[in-house]
Amino acid sequence: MKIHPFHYTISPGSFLRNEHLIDLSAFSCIGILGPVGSGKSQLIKLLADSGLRSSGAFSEYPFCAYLSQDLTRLFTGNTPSSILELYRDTRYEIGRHFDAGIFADACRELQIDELIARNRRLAHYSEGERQRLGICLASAVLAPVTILDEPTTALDTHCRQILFSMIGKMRERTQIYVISHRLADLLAVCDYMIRMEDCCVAEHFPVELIIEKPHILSYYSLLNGENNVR
Amino acid sequence: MILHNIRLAHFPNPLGISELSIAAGQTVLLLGPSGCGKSSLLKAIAGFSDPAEGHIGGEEKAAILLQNPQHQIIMQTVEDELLFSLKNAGKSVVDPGTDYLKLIETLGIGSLLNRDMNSLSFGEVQLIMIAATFLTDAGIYLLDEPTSHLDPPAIRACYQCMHRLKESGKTVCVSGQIADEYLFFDRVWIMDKGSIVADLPSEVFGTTYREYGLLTDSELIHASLNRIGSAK
Repeated sequence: MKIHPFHYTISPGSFLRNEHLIDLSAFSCIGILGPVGSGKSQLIKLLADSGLRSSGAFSEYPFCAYLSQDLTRLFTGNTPSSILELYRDTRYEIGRHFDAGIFADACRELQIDELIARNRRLAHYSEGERQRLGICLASAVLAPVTILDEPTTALDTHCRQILFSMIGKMRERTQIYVISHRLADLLAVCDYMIRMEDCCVAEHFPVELIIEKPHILSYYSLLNGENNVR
Repeated sequence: MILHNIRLAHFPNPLGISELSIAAGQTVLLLGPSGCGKSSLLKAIAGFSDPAEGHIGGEEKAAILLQNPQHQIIMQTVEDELLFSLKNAGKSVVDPGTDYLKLIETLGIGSLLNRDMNSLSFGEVQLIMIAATFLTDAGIYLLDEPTSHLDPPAIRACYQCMHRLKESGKTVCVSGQIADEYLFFDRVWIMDKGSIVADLPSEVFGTTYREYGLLTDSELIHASLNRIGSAK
């Protein structure tokens, strides 16, 4: 997989840009970081959304397993069994890629198997429970590319560690893209980083080079900066 | 505000502290595993849902930011969304004591004012709805994981605004998953299975959080950098 230089119009007067040729073929887990509104999710939509392929941003467009940022919108009104029915429907591409055994294992690992067995409406789940279910669904879709858009926003310390270990296994069969504001997440799982700024790819590097990037390390230090109130 | 003998709906155990109070001008960070009742507690304090047992005392009006801020969008544009909070309180941007302009400056959202709410990223929506919540006229502010989609400068800016509310005597209770954020608060409540298992001054939490199975992101980053450094 390569990302080509591109210039994509998001809306009139608003653009997403990349001026580099980024070869990701040797890497299994790519972290995308950058400030709020810097275009991280937009970049990944160019890969995952079949309607946006005209951008020519990526060298290929394989089927993608996708965990969205907005879990509530996806799940409200459904039960786990109704969602699973959709994921198992082989009339759709997702159904032809879904592995129910991997899903069951993931649910056990992330400790939502009993919750799912109760089959309550997902509107009654906590955001963390919804996020764990979303991760289990995405991890069970056997696609060449798996996209996890801010997968840890509602996870506690324990579940984050389990997710890191799950990603360690998943990367053997799929190339993973993780978007996160938490540098700790990206350093734990990624072998390559893409940093976005102002809707532009600002830099990209193998994760080993992070120790030569003091500007990134200081940016992600929560207590760094003059506007610290304490 | 005092919580008397509360048991949250859907939880078998009581909150655990028979009379739990938050003083005016105090800031509290609520931490705990996913599904432990953080959101349920905030909604009960806000009056959104009744506890299964006990009652909540206090006359303060509450403002709440839900975990998914998309659910609270009312207006079309960012500016209208922010002004709605003010108009709802019968105020305008120029009224004394209104934090409107300072809030916009601190949160760095001035360039978003003319944008359609639907065109914003998830993190931008979170920032706008934090501002809208802070502009609401209330005595107690409840924010459910408000920083989950924010970058570090935006997190600091959010807590800088919170600090101004505190200085004006307002009470703020925030749930979260990032243990490092304790440094911005006066107290930390740790929840598990519907109960508050610890109510700690933040200084004490800073030395004891590992006992509750928590880790800070700065620790995790440090460990990863050591691993990367050794591998090199």
